[in-house]
Amino acid sequence: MQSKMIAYDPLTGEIRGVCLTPPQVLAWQAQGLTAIDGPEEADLNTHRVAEGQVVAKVEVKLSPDQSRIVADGQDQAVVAVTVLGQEPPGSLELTVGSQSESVALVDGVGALSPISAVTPCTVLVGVADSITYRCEPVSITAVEDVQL
Amino acid sequence: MSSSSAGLTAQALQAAKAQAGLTLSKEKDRWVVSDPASPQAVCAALEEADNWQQGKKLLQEIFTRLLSS
Repeated sequence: MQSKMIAYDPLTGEIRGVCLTPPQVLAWQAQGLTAIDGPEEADLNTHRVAEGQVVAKVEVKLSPDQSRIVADGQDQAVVAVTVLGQEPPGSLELTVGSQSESVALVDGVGALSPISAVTPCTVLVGVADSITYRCEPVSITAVEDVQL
Repeated sequence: MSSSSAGLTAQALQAAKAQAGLTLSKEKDRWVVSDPASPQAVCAALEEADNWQQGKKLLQEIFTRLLSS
C-alpha cells in the first residue's frame, strides 16, 4: 500500500494537507504544520491525527424527522443524533445556524431541541467539532405560511 | 449552549458565516429561527414603525428585495 505525506496542525490534530511527493513538506513546516507518513486512504475530511497517529474521524449521523417546516412558529423539526462507533461520548456539541447546543447522548443517541421558524429561512445543523467528527450537515427549510 | 469556535475547520467556519444573518433564540427548550431580512420580518417591522423615516427605510428594503428576487 502506498503511503502519503500528511500535514497536520499539531495543536488540534486537523489534517491540513496530503501529498505524495516530499517537496511540499518544507512548505508545510514553514507554516507550523507537522508532517508524517499516513495511509493511502487518509483524507482531510475523513481522518485526523491523534497522538501522532492518523485515525478515522468518528462518524455522526443527523436525521431530521422533517426537513421542511411551515414558518408559523408552531411547526417544528427534531433532529436525531447518532454517534457511530464504540465508546461514544456522553454529549456532543451541534451547531444550529450560528449558535450551538450540547446534546446529551445515551449510548450514542440523542436529539437536538426542536427547531421552529417565524419567517421563511434555511438553517443548517452540523457538528461543532468537525476535526474529531465526520458529519454531513442537514438543513431545515422553513417555508411561507400561506393561508388561503 | 456556547459560542466557542474551537475545533471548527475552515469549511465549518464558512458555513457558520453563511448562517450568521439568521436570528436564533431559545424559547421553552425550542429553537426559534427567523431571517430579519425576509419580507415577512420587514413587513412586521413596518407595521411597528412609528415615524415616516423608519417606514421609508423599511419600504426601500422591501422594494429592493422584491426587485432583486
